[in-house]
Amino acid sequence: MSNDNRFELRMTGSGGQGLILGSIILAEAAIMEGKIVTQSQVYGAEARGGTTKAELVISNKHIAYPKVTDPDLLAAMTSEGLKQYGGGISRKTRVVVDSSVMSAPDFLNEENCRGLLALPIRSTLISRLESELGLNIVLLGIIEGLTAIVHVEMLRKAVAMHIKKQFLDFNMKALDLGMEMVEAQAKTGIRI
Amino acid sequence: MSEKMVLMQGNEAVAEGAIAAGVRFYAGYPITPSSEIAEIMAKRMPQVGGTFMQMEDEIASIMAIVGASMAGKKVLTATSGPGFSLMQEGLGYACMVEAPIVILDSMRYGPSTGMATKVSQMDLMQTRWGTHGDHWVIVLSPSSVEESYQLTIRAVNLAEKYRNPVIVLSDETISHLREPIGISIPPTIVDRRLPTKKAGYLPYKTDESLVPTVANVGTGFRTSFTGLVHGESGFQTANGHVAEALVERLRDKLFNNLDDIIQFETDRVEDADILFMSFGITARGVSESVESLRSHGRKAGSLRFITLFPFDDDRVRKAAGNARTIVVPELNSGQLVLLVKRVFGDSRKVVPMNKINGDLISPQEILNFVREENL
Amino acid sequence: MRPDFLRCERLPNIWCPGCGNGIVLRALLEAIDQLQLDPDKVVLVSGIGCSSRAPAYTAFDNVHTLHGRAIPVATGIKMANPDLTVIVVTGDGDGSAIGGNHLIHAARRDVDITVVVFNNYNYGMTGGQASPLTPSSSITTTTPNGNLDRPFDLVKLAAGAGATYVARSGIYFTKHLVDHLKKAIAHDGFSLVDAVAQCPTYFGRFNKKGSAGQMVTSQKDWMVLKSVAEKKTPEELVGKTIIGEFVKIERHSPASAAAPKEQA
Repeated sequence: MSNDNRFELRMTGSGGQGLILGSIILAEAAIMEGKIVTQSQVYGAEARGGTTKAELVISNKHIAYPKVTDPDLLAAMTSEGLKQYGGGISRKTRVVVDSSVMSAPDFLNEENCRGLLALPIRSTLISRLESELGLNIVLLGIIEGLTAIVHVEMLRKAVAMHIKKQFLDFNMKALDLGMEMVEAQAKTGIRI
Repeated sequence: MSEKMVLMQGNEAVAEGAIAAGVRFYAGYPITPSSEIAEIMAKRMPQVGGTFMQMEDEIASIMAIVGASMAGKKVLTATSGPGFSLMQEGLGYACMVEAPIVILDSMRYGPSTGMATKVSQMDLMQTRWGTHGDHWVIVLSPSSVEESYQLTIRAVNLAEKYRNPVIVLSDETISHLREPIGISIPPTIVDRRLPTKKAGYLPYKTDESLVPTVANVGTGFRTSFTGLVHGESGFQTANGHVAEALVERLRDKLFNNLDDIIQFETDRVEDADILFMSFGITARGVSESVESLRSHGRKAGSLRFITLFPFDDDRVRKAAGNARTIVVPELNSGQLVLLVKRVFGDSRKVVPMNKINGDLISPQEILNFVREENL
Repeated sequence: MRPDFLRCERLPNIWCPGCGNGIVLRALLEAIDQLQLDPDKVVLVSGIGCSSRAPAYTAFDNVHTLHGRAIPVATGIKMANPDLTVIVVTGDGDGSAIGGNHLIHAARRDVDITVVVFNNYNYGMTGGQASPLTPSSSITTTTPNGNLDRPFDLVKLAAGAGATYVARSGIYFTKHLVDHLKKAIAHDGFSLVDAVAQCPTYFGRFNKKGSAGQMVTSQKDWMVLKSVAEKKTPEELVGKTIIGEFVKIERHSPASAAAPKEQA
């Protein structure tokens, strides 16, 4: 169904991690590059504290059907998120999980997804930047590192649109951290 | 002509469209999935010299906008099914006193409280027949964030032009969807016609347009408004001939202007042998399916209702081409399909396609349906 | 009273012989006249019921709305054009039953409108059914064995909801009624006048209250001026209805409402 230039992203985790904001930031970076986007999310009580989901479609041309049907990338920041919204992936889907809060899911293998990248996202964030906040921005860095879906500078600009000045520096570091983690992973060649 | 594109949520586009159209009074009551419109209006109305009111319920909300409309303001309220049910008496009243008002109904899953955060298209017939008695409303159906903006402007303009309630029938998905839209071009604005002479003023006397020139209250014309049947003077009467003339005029003021009111969007209808008829968010899955079917050599086409009501059988027939099969996908148990069947009778194969689990109909599901049903 | 405040071509009115509504309407028009309001800037808004027909007999802008919905419409008008004097004409059923929620919220908001309740203790237009103001044990068509419920005290209800002007009067005391209507209309904030009238056709007949004339004159027996009541014991006031001004306070003005930020 999806066209070659259509990129579908699904992020899932728990409310408060800022995944919806993350998807909006990436959407705005894509718009600045003249791309078309549709961004959506689950709503309601479950979005505050419970399991949450944010989706983004990026394309060079008009997007008719606005929802993710066959994700190119699925990022799960909690095991509950993966359980609830991890269905509907295919052999084109790359899956990123936070290995610091969940063990690598055994139902994912080369038969049903393109690849699984387990990164200790939360623990690295805490050890390197001494913060529990900013997980969404680290994840954006990881997505960018994996896909180069937008120009990094556009992504930085979009982050700046949404983050208060006094926290901007920290968030730029978080973005860099995410990209670094992908790079380091690529170097070691470890793939779970 | 490249306009600056901004990322906007559907509900935000409705609020900004209303402001661009001149809405300066908003009254509402919180309800998912339309609450963001109230929240945005609470912030934006004071910025543009307008008034925001959070009312005690949806009945008060619609009555407050009717009052503000009578005092000359362009007005909006927004709600979802449960609140829209409460608004029905006010909707009928606005039809009867011919107060220009705009109601945004963002459809969630019904009946009753249903599923507040899930999408449906179950309020379609409620927009047309929700309030008692013969009455006519204009119902517009956006299928994107951009169109939420444009159709809200159009709704305000049509309400003012025809002195009639206009309903923008959106849904949970569009309300919460974010898409880039360009909004820097100032829209065309329509204002209600007002009386010029106090001598011989009859609020409900009309010219050939059949749209009355009722004065705004407080402008010295001393108008009588009532939801009772009334003649040109605005005063109540139990005269059956006056009643008949009034109800006929309420219909004809819209039906004499269908070219102005009715809009469809068609895609490759001319040579289609299978035609999809849909509205709102469902049309976006359809659009992708048509593309897909065409790429596989199947002559598929689409007709999307931008104006749902008034619903004109002749115009639908003419716009539908010659497709032998018409599929009507919708997120309810079969509402639009009733109208489509009325238009075509047995002359075409009209096939309902319904989904009522709170999710959208995906393009793949449409393709599967066409294959499985041998359409 | 100025005859040009009435649309004489709309008369006679629909009210029964002996109905008290005409006297309340006259008092209201008298109050508007004495306040020297610009008739072009007065809007009367009503709901559904006998009393709610009153505005259409007047020469002002008048809005006959739906049952119970006069107050939100009046709120919309006033908020859209604060220069107008907006007066709601309602009945005890229209205003305190189906419209009761709107009543308390308008009082809470302290929106600057005046609500005049033409209180005849029952639903007249539909045939004399019980309203929330029907006294306990009274006979109506829906309480054939006597009303089991207690009535609202409209004055306390409005006061409790935050009304900044509340008064009660009766049609026997016409000058008292006009004076309190004037004060209510002139008040800056939400004001309510419980104007007690009679329904000889239903409430009076079912409860053996005598003729219309007797119902009016009896008000002097069962109504007590507030100033007089203050000197009486609770025992002496059993079965009496106190009339006068009950609430008159400065309108609520929020201290912390910031000016809206300019548009970005």
